[in-house]
Amino acid sequence: MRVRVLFFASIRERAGRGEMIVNLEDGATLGQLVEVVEREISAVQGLDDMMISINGRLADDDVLREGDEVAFLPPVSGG
Amino acid sequence: MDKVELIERDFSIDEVCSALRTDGTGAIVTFLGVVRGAGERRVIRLEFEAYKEMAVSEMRKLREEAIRRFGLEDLVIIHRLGPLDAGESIVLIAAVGGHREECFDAARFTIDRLKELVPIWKKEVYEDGKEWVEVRH
Repeated sequence: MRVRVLFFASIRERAGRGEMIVNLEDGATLGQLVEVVEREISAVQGLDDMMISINGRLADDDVLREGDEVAFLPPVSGG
Repeated sequence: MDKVELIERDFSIDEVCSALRTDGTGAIVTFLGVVRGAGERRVIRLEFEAYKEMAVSEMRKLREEAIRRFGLEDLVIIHRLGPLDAGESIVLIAAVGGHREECFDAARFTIDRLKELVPIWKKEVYEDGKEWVEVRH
């Protein structure tokens, strides 16, 4: 299955891109996605400690589905 | 007027407040966040970035929560994006109600929660560099 990954702010700059498509086995978890992303982009580490959203909501479910949009969110600083 | 906006252009507090008042309005409390130039390092401008879809959705939820919690008539949240020079407006909260107490409380609640929850980020630009602001709550 394919999952769309988004990066913002400091992590977007470290990753050198705002998004990437990751292919995973069906039933893969967020933890497995993190492993793949950290392996592919060595400048991006420690993703487990970040806020993560799935389809625009803070992730409370570990299992990913085809077409999910997963965003890695650095600590926010709006206002 | 949309009650929740994430926009690049500037806004007019007068226009927002005129559009909000009704026969039952007794108070409108506005909070205006501004790009501060002075500090340990002089800030020339801020560059804002957002996860737009999620930010708008979180701002809508926050608006509804504040209206319910404080019994407001209405609430507007406008946040700007892009590069903003020192002195420019960043964010406007306008809390509308029958009485001042709930409006003061709601305006403070809303800006505090926005700063904690809504996926918007700013980078400070100095004369000799740039740095993302990351606030750990």
